[in-house]
Amino acid sequence: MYSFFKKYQHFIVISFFMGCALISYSSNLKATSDTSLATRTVFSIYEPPLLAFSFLLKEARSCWDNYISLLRVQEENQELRQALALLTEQNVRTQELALENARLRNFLLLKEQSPAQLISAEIIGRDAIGWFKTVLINKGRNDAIQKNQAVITHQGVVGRCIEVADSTSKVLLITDINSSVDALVQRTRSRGILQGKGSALCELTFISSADDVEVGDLVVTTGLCGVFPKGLSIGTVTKVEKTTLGLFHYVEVAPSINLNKLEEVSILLPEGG
Amino acid sequence: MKHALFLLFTGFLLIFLQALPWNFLFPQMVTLNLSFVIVVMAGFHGNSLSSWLLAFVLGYVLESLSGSPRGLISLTNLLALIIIRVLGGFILLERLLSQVLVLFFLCSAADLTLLAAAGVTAHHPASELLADAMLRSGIITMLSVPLLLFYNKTVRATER
Repeated sequence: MYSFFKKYQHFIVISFFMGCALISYSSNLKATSDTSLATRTVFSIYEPPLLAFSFLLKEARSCWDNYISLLRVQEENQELRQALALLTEQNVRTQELALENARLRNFLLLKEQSPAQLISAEIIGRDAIGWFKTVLINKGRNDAIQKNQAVITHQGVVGRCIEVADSTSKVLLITDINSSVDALVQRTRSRGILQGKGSALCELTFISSADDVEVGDLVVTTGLCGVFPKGLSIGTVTKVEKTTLGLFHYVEVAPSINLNKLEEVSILLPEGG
Repeated sequence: MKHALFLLFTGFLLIFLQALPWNFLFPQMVTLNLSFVIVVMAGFHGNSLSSWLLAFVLGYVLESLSGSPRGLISLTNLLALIIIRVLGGFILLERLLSQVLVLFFLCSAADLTLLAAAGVTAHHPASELLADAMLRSGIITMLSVPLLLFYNKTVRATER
């Protein structure tokens, strides 16, 4: 027995590790409810140094922004003041619309959606390969985070939690190739699926050739996929290739958030949780 | 054993560096898979059993910290080792030039395998992805030359 093992040890070892890798890969095809113990161990080991270094990197950036990179500050200040004035005016109009909406809802006796509970988290790590679009955050199961919870900021949708350990979670960004979000064009209410392209942009698929979509249209969530609530901003249409012969348009969408500069996010807890 | 532990520790450290949020300082910074160099180096010099284990473990850790499907990077690492074993029968892998060429080829092949398995090739032109993969592989190869030189010297000194 021992001589058999000694004779074929290379083949046995190679087969064993290849088998483990193939089993891991094929088990990935089935949706599992829990993050594996080995993955949670990896997260636990890497979390403290990632937290420490991400803090240092943020402080370095803050030092650069506040003391060194002060060029164009006055010009930028002027631009921001003008933008603020415009937004204040829009805000007033939006408040009027919200009040009118509330009156009409009461009139129709529609149930008011209760404000969702949010947990803030910091980005402590990014995808270690670069071809995929994920980030690590410093909140996990101990903070009531669960798999498939929505991750957002005040500007819009970021992604969803795909793996959760005790105090760390992995978030799949909407630009990742494996991400799909049920979305619609706000202006025309055309429904489609927003898919990541593995780059900085996304594609809004299944927009019928009969639907009207223009560059500049806002894309929002439909609330039907069960992960993201309705009406959250996803991005803006940047390119439309209309087709007369095919079934669907080709629509490119730029996310409303610069995902490369993300530092803090909020995780949406389910109602009652 | 010492060499295997050194490579394993270096691999963990490189994965940690890859996972840091450098985009806080450099938003457009590209992530390079430097830990793959450790796997290739283990293939050049390492004892058979420890190099397979190292490839599998580093692959698993990298998968945990990225969006890659579980098992894919481990599989890629193990296939890289098999290719190195096969190539070892045809070319002299102790020479630096051979190592650099093999490293460049394997880095490009590994990246393209990852892209194809992840489905990125369906959304981008193949030429663009190939150019991107080769550029990254070129940078990784250039950055690893000092490490290859240092490790070759260390291994030869140990063997003497």
